[in-house]
Amino acid sequence: MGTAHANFTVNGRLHRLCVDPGEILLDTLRHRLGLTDVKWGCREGACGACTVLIDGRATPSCLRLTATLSGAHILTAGGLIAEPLAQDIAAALENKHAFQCGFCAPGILVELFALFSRAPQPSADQLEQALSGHVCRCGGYPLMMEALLKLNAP
Amino acid sequence: MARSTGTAAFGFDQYVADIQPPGLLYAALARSTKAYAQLEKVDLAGALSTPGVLAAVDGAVFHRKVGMIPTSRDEPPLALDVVRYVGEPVAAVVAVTPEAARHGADRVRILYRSLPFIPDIQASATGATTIHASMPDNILRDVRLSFGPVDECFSSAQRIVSGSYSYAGSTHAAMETHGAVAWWRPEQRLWIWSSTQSPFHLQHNLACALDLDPAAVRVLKPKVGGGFGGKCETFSHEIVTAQLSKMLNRPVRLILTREEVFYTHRGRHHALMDLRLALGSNHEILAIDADISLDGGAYAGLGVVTTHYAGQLLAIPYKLKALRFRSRRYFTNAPPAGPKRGHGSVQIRFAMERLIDKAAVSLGIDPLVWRRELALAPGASTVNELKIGSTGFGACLDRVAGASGWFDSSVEGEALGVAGSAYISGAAFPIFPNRLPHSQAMLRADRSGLFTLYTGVAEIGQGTEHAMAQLAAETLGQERHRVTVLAGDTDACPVDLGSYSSRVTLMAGKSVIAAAQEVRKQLLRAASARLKIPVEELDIIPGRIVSKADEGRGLSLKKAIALAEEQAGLVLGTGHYRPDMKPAHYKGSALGPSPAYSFSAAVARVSVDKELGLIRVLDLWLAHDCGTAIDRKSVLAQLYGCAIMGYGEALLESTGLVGSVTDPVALIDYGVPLVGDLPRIHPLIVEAPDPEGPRGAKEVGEGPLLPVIPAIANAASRALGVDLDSIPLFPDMVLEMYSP
Repeated sequence: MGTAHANFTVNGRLHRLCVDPGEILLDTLRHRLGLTDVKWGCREGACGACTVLIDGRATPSCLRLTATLSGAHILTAGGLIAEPLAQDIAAALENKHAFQCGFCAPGILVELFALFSRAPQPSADQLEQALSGHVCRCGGYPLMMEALLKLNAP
Repeated sequence: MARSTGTAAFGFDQYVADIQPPGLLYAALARSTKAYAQLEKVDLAGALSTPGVLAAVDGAVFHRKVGMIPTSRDEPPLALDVVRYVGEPVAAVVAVTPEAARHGADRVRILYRSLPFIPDIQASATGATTIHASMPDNILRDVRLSFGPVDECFSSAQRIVSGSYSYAGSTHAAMETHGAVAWWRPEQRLWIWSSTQSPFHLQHNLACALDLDPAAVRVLKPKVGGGFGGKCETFSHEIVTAQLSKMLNRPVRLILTREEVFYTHRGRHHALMDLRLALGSNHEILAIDADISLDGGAYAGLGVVTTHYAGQLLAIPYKLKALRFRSRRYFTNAPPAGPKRGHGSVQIRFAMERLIDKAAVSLGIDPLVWRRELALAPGASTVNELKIGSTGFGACLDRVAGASGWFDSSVEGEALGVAGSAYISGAAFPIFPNRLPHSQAMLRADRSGLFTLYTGVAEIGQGTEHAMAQLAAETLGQERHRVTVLAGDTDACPVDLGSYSSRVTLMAGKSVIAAAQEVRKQLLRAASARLKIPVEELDIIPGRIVSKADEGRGLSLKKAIALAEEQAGLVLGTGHYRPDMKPAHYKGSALGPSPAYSFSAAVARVSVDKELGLIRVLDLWLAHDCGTAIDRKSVLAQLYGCAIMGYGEALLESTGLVGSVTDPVALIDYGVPLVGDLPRIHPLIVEAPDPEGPRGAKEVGEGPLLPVIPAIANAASRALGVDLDSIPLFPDMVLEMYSP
């Protein structure tokens, strides 16, 4: 099998990689770049845990091939640490104990960061739509909704 | 800007898949594709010639069968001679990359000679084929127990009501898949990181499986991404990584895929239940007679416990004069079933609460009011000698009645349904009969002013470490952040049996309080000597020890710790807990007793589309008596979690009933509830402090799930005017039961 080249930034740092054409972004981030802040629960696009931002869009990283992402700007949950908006969202969720085991949390934070970036006061429908691709088996959804609806309420 | 103080959201937490010791190797398992077959040959040559593969092993490298219960160790770490379910591990391959390990495992050639397989309980019961030669009737355990004058009660009954119930299996589907990293160390010790709910059982079981001294095994539990009972047992992947690491003297990691979790899961048993109820002239329950059949899958696991609980826990939460049950766990060629949230009790609670409603209909009485009349009183002893301490069951029913408008007139096309339940706060007697403490704790104060709590508890997301820190801090009169928790390392922490049977808050909580009380005493003594004020006239407040009479007189906590160190060295308190209980005088009496019982009640409001058979849950009120809410936010989180998991089991989830193939094996097909699926959930905390609980606390992690499922089924049954007696209530199944 041949190799492909992919040049992109992850959390602001440029990477030039030679990858197997079949390699998924999730494996590139975790195995090659050591970014264990990206978790995974299924590798089949169903759980949302591995969600990252690709050019501002929240996307499960298990569904994208690394070789197709040249020129992209990628942000992981850990890469949002200095973002005031991400801190606000995380603090609001923690204050409600919306996360229990925490495994879904980084993916959800990334998703919500994308949502709040384009809609600072999202409606319940918008929030539900954003969270609909994420499984929280601990059942934190109602507490998440409660925390998030209050977050930027006028 | 608010500042996050948690570690989860930005991905800082380390789960087992994030552990990366130097020189790490990767393992993968080759699994059976047959439900039941003789293994003619396991050919490892293809695997061994795969680039990057360093070694491959089959079942012959292991010498012992494993299992959680000493009397039913029936499972080889890798299949030997026979495979008994699709997905059973047959061989393991270790390689320099995860991909190479996977390729190698795919190239293990397994030659089978298929045997007629047993897909379900009915086929198992015929005994035409046996799954284990030592169990010719395919029954792991046949428990028959009878308490009180059962036959007399039925012959004198004013009314007898009966029903047959079916409950499909379900799975935990924790978001983190199982996994382990094992490292056989140069000093000839095994370190193993595992996503486990019971590090000390794992230590013991690994030592047994690999003929090691338990002292040579160090279990390290990193963050665990959910358990719900699915990570209690000791699994093939844990034993295999340990063995491979020992062979190669390098660390080995094996993380299960989502598909593999469906084979490994040890999910809820599929159950068939026949129940009869004898009612007296004042509508009292005279007796319950139950016949319970459980589909245990191919191996025993913790199934003995399930079998007993299914019958024993029928004795709560209602008053009975007599109880008789027969509970059997059958072997089938399905992945083994095991403990899931509400272990052993969820299926039978569904059946019992359906039957209570059926009886209420036939008596023409209100099912909620009736349940209140039937409730066991505080301090009651049940027919099978379970000792109830506190009970807030009546209050739970009142709360859900009030909040749901139970007594108001109903809306056209909608119906309310109610159910009640009770659950254990830990098992009074351990899996291995012994007199050792179930939980121990150490608390150390140091001159920095920090308290460090060493505890064996296994945090799996339920908030245990938080609750333990809270109890220690309260006992010491300090803020919670002064206490840091060191847990999940069998080298560093005293034994706690683990996160199962809802035991942790009560048992670990008692040992933590005892340890903190010792430290408190040492600090007060040191302060008393310096201040020349008697101990009983001193108080500890955040950061200081002061005179009760004059808060201006005192010294800082740091100073008190330093003084205590000067006087007697290390400031250390220890605590332990073992339930002070004796089993009753009948065989099987060790399963069921608990130091304290929690109580719950739920009301569901549903509407049903009669053409489609679609049940829509609009509201779910869930009240739970947790004794004392040590941390209200954590209690609420558990109530939501139980409500949603119960809702999913009632309407969305099923592992399928066919033993030959586990279906589905993809998360997307399984049907875990998502945010858009949910009813409005109204959690209600009830507190009836129990004398046995730490500050009166009882469990909250499992019990609240129990009434959710029957409340939904009862509401839907009322809406349709038919008995919906099987779970899940998929639309096609509803239509089958409801033919207008």
